[in-house]
Formats: sequence, structure tokens, C-alpha cells
Amino acid sequence: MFRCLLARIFSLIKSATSVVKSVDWSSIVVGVATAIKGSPSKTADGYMIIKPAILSDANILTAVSILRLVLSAIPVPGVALASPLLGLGTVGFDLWKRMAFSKAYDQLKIPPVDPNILKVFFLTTPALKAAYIDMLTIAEVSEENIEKLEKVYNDISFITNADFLVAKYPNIDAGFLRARAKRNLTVMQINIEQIEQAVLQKSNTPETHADAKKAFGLVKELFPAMSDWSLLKSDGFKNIVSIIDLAV
Amino acid sequence: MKKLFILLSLFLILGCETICPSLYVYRDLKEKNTETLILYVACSDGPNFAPTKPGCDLPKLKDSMAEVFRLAEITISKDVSQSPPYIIYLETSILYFRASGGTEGSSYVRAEQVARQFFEVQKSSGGSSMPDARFYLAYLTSAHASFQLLYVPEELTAERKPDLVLAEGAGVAALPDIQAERKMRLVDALLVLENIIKQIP
Repeated sequence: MFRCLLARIFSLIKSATSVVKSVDWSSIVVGVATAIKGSPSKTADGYMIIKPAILSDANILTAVSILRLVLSAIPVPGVALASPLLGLGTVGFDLWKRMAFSKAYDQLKIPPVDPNILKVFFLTTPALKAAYIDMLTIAEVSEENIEKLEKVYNDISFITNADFLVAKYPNIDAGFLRARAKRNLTVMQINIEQIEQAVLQKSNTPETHADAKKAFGLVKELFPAMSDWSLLKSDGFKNIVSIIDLAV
Repeated sequence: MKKLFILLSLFLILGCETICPSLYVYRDLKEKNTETLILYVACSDGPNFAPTKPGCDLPKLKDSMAEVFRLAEITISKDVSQSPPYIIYLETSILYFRASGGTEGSSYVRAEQVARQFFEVQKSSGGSSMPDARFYLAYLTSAHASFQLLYVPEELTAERKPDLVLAEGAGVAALPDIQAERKMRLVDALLVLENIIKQIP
């Protein structure tokens, strides 16, 4: 049975060979190699610490030889088959890669603060250094202290209600806390504005336009009052995140 | 004829795998990344890291992150122009530094190098992930420079300064394109970077 199959394959290859003799193999090989290699990288070698393994000569030669074998074994005019295959190496291949790679993956909405940025931020901000100096010497910065400082840092990074911050942290200069709350609100509002504009540009009917404007009006009202992390866990905030995800 | 098609399909699969073997590694990377994020979420409370939280398995989380780094490097090496493996690597670095307390200098060096490569690749190709590349370069350079300031200040030399200035410029350029939560982090990271640059003669 197997011998019969082999004989059939060889006979097919033989008949195909006569058909594909007219194929310009050199251009196919160059085409396949170009497809594999892609456009030459302009990135300076000094910054390429992870080398592109796909560009090894062995990989290119193996791919070319396999594709040649596939092409030569099929009993149809070579050029007709070579075109879509090589098309796979240019537009089709890029499309396939885009589809394979652009799939969204989960990202954390609020990235953790880097422990060393956290320490330097406290050390270089007079109001924070004065309030937490006893926790900031290298010997004192234990994981336990990092956790305590992180909670303070996250509050002063995201909370937009100045009165709440001042009441919660009487040990920190009130002027600094009010400035932070104002900054937090400004950054949030600018982002909301940008996202709103992006959404409005995509809303192609008056109804969706009105809905989007209404939704963002609610969002803008929410942020000035934001005084607690529980708000970030609320359904309202989840809806905002959904809108952001849709827009970007 | 059916068997011939099976044989030819096999050849075609082999051909595709040879052209772009990263597809399978990338699938593993995505799975590992998802697993890592689930483990990380179990150790966090909103924006705060909470390693003492019930259900948090810190050793397992660190092992999972190490595997993400390994797979991401393989995936990047298969195709250096694709953004997702870089982003997974760099995003995991940010989680890793928090989970490890930020005391491993070599990890900071590597993360900054990968961020720089991502930035340079995007710059040379005019890639659409440029805002992400700028964010990671600025944030991770700031993190590395902070580590250097605290633990190895002698490394903050005049030769190091251009790297920090470049990262600061990238961060400033990224600000209009970065989302709220990240922008908060980036603004403070840039403040820190600016302060460190001022300290270098």
C-alpha cells in the first residue's frame, strides 16, 4: 500500500516536473527568502540584544527547500501555485501574522508602582520626605514599609478629592496634597476629554453621538468626587473602563 | 489522492512552521502571561501589592514570571518587529519589580535593554506601538536609574546621562497618548528621572 502510494507520488512529481520546468525558480527562491526575511531592519545592532533567530541562513534554506518540494510535488502549473504561496510571503503572510499577533491580551488597568521609583519619589519630594523620613533609609525600606508607602503613594496619585486627602493624611503638608489632588483631576480630565473625542469621531449616528456625550458627562462628574478606591471597583468605573477599551 | 493531500499538508505545515515558528511559542507565551496575571491579581488589592493576601502564592508567581520572560525572549527572537511579545515582557517586568521588592539590579538592566530595543525597532519602522515603546523606555529607565541612585550611585556617570535624557524625552512625547492610570505613573517617573538627571554632572 505504502509502496503504491510512493509510486503514485513519484509519478505525480515526474509529471509535475515537466509542467513546472517553465517556472523561474531563481525568482521563487528570492521571493521566498524575501518573504521570510522581511524588509531589512534599520535598527542599530547595539540595541538588538535579542537577536532575530528567523533570519538565520539555516532557517531560510530549510524554508526554501520545503517550499520547493511542496511546489514541485503538486501536479498543477507551478506558476499558478507559486503565486498564492509567494503571496503568502508578502501581503497574505503579513495579514496572517497581524491576525495571529494583534489579538488583545489582558493588561492590568493600574500598573504597580516600581519600588525604587517609589523610594526616590518620596526622598525627592520635600513634603513626603518630611512625613516619612524614618521609613526611607535604605536599612528601613523593608517590604512592610514599601507596602505602607505604596498605599500613601497610590492615594496621592489617583484621588481627586483634596479634602479627603487632607483629612486622611494630616501628617503631610496640606498644600502639597491639594496640589496633587488638582493634578490628578487635571490628568484624568484631559484623558477623558481625549477619549471622548475619539469616541465621538467614531459615532456615526446622532443617537450614538448623544449617548456618548451623556456617558462622558457622567464620567466627568464622577472623577472630581473620587475619594476612595471602592469607586474603582464599582460598576460605574467598570463601565468607564469598557468605554476606554472600546475607544483605544 | 487523499493521502497525497495529507502528505502535502504536512509539508505545508512544516514550511509555515519553519517560516514563522514563533506562532506556537507565542501561544504558549500568551497562556503563561494570562496565568501570571491571574496569580498577580491574587496578590494585589486595587493598585496596591498585597503579598500577604489569602490565596497569594508569591513563589509560584515569580516562577511564572520567569517563564514569561523566557518565552517572550524566544518569541521576540523569532520576529523582532512584533510588538506584543515586547509588551508582555516589559509589562511583566513592572509586575516583577514590585513582586521582588526591586532589589535585583540585573533584572532592571535587562528590562531597560529590552525597552530600548523595542523603542529602536518601533522608531526605525515607524511602528504603531510607538507610544507604548516610549512609555516603557521612560518608565523602566526611570526605575533602573532609581535603583542605581539608591544602591549603586557610582553607575550614574556622565556616560549614563544621555540614556536618561533620551528616556525622559520619550516619556514626555508619550504623555498625550497614554491612558489615565499609566499617565499618573509616567508623570511621577518623569519627575524622578528629571531629579536624577540633575544630580549627574
